[in-house]
Amino acid sequence: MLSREDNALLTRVGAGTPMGEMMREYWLPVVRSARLEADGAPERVRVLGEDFVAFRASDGRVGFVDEACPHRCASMALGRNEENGLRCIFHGWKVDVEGRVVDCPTEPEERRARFAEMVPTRRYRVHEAGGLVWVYIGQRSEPPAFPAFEFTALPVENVAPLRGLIKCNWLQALEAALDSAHVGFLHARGGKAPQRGTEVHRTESAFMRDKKDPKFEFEVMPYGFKEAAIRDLSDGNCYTRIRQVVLPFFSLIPRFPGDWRLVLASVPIDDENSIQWYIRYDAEKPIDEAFFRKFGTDSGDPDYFNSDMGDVTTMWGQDRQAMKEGHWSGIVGRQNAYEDFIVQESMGRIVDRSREYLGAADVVISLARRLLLQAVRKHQEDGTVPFITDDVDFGRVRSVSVTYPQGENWRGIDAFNPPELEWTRQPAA
Amino acid sequence: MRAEDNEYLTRIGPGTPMGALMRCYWLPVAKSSELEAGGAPVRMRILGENLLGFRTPEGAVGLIDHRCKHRCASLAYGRNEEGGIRCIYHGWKFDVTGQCIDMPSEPDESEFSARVRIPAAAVIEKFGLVWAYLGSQRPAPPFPLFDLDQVPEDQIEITFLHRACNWLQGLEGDIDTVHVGFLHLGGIDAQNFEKGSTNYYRQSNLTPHYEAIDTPYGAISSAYRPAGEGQLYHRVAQILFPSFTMAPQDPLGYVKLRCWLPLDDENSMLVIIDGPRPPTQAVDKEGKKLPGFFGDGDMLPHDGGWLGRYRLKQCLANNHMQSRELMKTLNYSGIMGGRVQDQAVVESMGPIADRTYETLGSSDRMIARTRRRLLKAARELAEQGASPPGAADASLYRSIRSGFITLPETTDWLAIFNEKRREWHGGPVADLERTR
Repeated sequence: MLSREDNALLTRVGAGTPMGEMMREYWLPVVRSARLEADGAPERVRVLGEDFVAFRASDGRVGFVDEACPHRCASMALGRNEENGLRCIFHGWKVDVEGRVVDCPTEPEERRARFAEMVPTRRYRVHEAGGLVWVYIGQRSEPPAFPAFEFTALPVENVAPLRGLIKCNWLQALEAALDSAHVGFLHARGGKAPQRGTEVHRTESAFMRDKKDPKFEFEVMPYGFKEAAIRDLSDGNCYTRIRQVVLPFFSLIPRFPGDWRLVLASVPIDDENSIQWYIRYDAEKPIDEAFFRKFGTDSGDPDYFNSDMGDVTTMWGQDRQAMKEGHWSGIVGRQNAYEDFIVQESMGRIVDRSREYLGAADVVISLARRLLLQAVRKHQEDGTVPFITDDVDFGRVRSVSVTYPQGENWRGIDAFNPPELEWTRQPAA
Repeated sequence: MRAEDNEYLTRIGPGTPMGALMRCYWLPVAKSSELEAGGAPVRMRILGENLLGFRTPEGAVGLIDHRCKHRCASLAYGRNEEGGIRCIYHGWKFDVTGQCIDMPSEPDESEFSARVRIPAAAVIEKFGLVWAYLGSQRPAPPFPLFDLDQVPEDQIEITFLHRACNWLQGLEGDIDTVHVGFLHLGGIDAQNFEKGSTNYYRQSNLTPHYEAIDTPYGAISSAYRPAGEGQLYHRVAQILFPSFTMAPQDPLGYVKLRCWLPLDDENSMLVIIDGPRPPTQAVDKEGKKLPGFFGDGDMLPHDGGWLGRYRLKQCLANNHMQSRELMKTLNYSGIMGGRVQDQAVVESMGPIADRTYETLGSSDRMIARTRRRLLKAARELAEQGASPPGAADASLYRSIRSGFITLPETTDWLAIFNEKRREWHGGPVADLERTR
């Protein structure tokens, strides 16, 4: 539960709001690199309530500029992308990838160049890594620390970023990513609860369905926290999901050591809309991007994979008959992300957290809110940038699922070199 | 421009200063043909008010608040009967002036009904259009004929187009003649046109000089550039209070008029009223139509809603059907049709453009002047009750026309305009003058 005031403090992200100003201290992943084609269509990008246009220039560099033309505010998304810049179709003014005005053909020739130089524009920084275009839209002249996660250093064929778009506030998206207690319920599908600990069902989802009330332990870190969800198994071992949360956006989903890995990022589009990135990668080999693009969705659209999700007017296509026949959620034939998105949207655009009633399974949610509230207040007070700093080696921040004998401590486990029971490497059933 | 000024200029709902200014004038709100005698009433949002246009079986036209004065049920569902419209809820009936003329649910109806009246606009039908005055002055102010009575009525061509943005954005496109060389004709070399033709001169010089002059009804401007030996090519445009323009699309003197009718703060209707026109200018020297001028957009059927008339399929949601392919191979904007191109850029600015963000250049002089003029008039009306330009004197709109003309460098374009004006007028008429 949060007071109305704290809820507003955490959820409002427009320019000038405390959380909005804190988020403007970070690099934000906004669009897939592959989406931008040299001299191709510019892409409209709204982030933190402001409207921009991303484009790839003739020489391959990515430009990120205000959507409104500096002249009379026509959209640069309609612009001509040519000769290393974006030219407004209204009066032909042109900006380069850095946002500088480089041509004003409506001005008399003799003072055109000087006039162009004088046009005030905002400039933004762009960084491409991990198949994503990251932007910095804050005020500082020096760009902030880049969170160089493991996937950002891999060859592009090892990374498959997919973008989901949700019609609700970013914190709902982040909280769903953090909440591992829902997995055994919301994503239970139609299957009966599997037998505990048998050979065939030693999969992560089987463990999670089987034991729906794990014990949670936390360790607060400079960048956020680590969470361990510990489930005792009948064979004397425990199954523990150690998750890394890098605030304010990133949740690294635990998976068994040899598997491909998954990073979620919840980036605010505006107060009432969010991007939820699903960044899958394999540290050792190329990943089958085409498979994930079609996995549990009909859209095939990597930039809006849930575009066929529907909305409240059709109850997101929930199938009541399937529910009678044993399907838990009635969201049939879809990947888990759909179920997550649907419950988040069902709370309303910005959920009123003064109405909630939190229990034992929600400790992680409370912790994240507490850390965010502390951080945003401190930032408001003295400008301290929390969480993502040069002091952390994000390349070594990884989540992992492990099994080990009950009674041992998870805190010492190195996600890059975890203890390994023999069967944990078996392929999923 | 300051954010407060932008608000002041753009908002036109009841109770706003610019809304009050708009309510001093006659505005074209519908084609006469939209209202069928005894037919379905038409929902229209005008100046932020939800109104109902209807034509009684006898042919009288009304434009009234859509809510029945009894219990607010919408008269859009009403029965269009002899003498007026009858609410289907309890049978109250109202004539075209909004007066209640029948109240069958009341025992002592005659006395009661006389005191019940729905707010109604004053309405005139003229030139195939329904014109409305939404102010409170009665009798309504004099009706400006412009020069539309100077051309045969059956040759007047009327076009309505919805724009999903504030009225001022649309209007500013009309008085910004420089965009034509980019948005509409970008990339077309002057050599494609007949040497000496107007398009030739326009495309050879995309940075004309500007002179804009205040007039009693609004402002007049000329954008001029060299047109060969000792000659200047002038494009003369008009802005007429509160939101009429005359763009220089044809040789100087043709009768034409455009109105940017505010539907609400974020929607407007472009009403184009054209008299007989010379053959189209949108061709090259081989007589071929210019690329990108094909088509006028795809008109959607009216959907019966408050903002459901004259909308195009081309809209922000589909990027106005811009084609990146055509942009490389056919035309500058990748958008088909001059009107759709205009629509795309003004709608792309957002519902109300943030004028604190812009950077005006030397070609935006007429725009800056128009804004100042409108602001001043709205302030003087709000603060001193001063009647805004032209509102009380319809004769000011007489013999005002636009167009292009080529003149010797040494000739004063305004003097020529005044001379022509006397000609159109068929007698003496006050000259337009440069002040300060």
